Amino acid sequence: MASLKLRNVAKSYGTVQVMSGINLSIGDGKLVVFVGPSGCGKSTLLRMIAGLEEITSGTISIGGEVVNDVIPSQRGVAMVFQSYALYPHMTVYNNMAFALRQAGSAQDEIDRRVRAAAESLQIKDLLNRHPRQLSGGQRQRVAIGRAIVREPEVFLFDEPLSNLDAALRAQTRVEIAELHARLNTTMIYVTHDQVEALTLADNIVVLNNGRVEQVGTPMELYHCPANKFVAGFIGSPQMNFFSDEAELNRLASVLRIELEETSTLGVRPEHLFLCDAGKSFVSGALRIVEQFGEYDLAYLTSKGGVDFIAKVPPESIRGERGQILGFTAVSEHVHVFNEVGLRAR
Amino acid sequence: MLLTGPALFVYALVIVLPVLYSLVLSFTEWSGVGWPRFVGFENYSRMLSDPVFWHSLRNNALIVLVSLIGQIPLGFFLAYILYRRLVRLPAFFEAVIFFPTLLSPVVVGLLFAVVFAPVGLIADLIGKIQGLPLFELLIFNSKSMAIVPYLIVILWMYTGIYMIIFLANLQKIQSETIEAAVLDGASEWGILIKIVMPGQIPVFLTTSIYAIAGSLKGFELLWVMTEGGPSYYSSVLGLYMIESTFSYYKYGFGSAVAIMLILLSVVVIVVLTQVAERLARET
Repeated sequence: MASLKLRNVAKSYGTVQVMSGINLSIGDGKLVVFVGPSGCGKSTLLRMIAGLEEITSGTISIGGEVVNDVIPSQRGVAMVFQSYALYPHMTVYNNMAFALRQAGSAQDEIDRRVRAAAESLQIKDLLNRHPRQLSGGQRQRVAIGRAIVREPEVFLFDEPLSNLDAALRAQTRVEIAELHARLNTTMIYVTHDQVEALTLADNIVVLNNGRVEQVGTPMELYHCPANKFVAGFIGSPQMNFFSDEAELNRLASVLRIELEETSTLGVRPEHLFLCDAGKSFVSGALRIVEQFGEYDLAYLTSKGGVDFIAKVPPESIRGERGQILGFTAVSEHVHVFNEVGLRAR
Repeated sequence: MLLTGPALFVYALVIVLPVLYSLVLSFTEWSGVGWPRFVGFENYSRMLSDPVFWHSLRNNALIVLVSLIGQIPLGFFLAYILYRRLVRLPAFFEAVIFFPTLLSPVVVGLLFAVVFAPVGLIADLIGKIQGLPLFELLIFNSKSMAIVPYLIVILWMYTGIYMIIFLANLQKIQSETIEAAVLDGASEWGILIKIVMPGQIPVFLTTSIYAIAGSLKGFELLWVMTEGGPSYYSSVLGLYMIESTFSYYKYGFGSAVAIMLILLSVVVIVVLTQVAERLARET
């Protein structure tokens, strides 16, 4: 178990700078999720922590020790890869034992650790099989087991659930959360799936274009996004944004708040409630309704031409395509962003 | 059976029939005109008692050996260096090493006949090093050494093709598998021996079969370089067969040599397959 600190970390490929000014502090035993869209640099950052990518400048410290020049295997980290990265010609046992053998551990110790990890992950019966004889979920457990036997100070997960089907993904997500609760080891988890981020994380790091946009707990990010990017990225379906001048004036008067011409106003779909079109905070022409059983999603277009989504109780909208529907919201759930996209309210 | 019929028919026409024809012909004496005369195993007994056959077989064995323990391991080693980018400009080295494979054997043969000539490039270099301006390279005069220049040439010429085959297969290994090994503490040597090599055993087998087949049947490069000479010192079974058949018009005898070549190929390939299967089981 160890804390992890990144100070002014930057990464360039030749003259192209892909990451800059990364400052992060991850406490002992925390599960931190790096989240962001494809190409935002989250996997690169994880690989820099692992030592698989060199950093161009800055420092990375694990357990208080700067590890910039420490080789990957000596950093006290273990990584679970998206593709599992199991050794195809080795049995599950040998896959899990490989790192310990490289480290020169005694056979008794190797056997004890491998069997303990296999027991905890319920893969004891698979120890003599080869990776090709395993399902995707079983391979992922072996990959996690291979990391566990090393007893690392920091676990690194690089989109570990991406190759699993939806049901298995949900199940494995819970198992990873339980694993973290049981081991209480520092874990860094990279994903582009915000559901994984919100459900697993003690803290979330939102990345965009090689920069950290915001660091906070899942609820901080959900309720108080620092900027428009985070507001749009966290939450599903994503937050609605309104920046049309006429609409803003009307919204400002209904909500009784001061808005500048260049402001953007954001409301999450689940915070919009159906009301009479005359008293509405925003109204729009219905395009389509998606029914999820537990709730419906209504897709609408406002008078100003802005597409927005409302999450409403099931079967509460019985209108036809083109029907004008009004929605309101309480002012605490309305976010205001200034002209550069930073949170103003 | 019905669906494979056309393919089997073509296979029988171009492979099975000629082999059977050669097999039948190998039990006869025939100069190409008139009717073949049945002579039983006479061609085989004559062949097995001919020192030229045994010397050619010895040369073929050396060629197979250079292919199996020279070209293939060297090709794999070079491919691994390029795959892991352990040198700068890997694309340049890839092109340079592969280039000789693209050359015509006739061109290569003519070139190296000059290089290894008694007063050729090698003789010139050795002469300059030893301070003997009249130094002559007499390697072809040695019965046991006459094949050596050819062995050097095939090592230079064909290693590139094995390098490309291995490189293509190495590139199929997920980079994450290698990275996992790096994180697990494996050294470069450990990655090579414990992670990469075991997955390449089927490729070693395929390239070995390709190399053995090529080594036993090849003769064109040697024909241009030495014509199997001086005398029969650098001859191989392919040349021995061609000369017997088309220079001396002994079609029956030539067919016996051809059958012997086929048998040798089959035996060596079967043994090699068994070894590779055992290796694959053990790893």
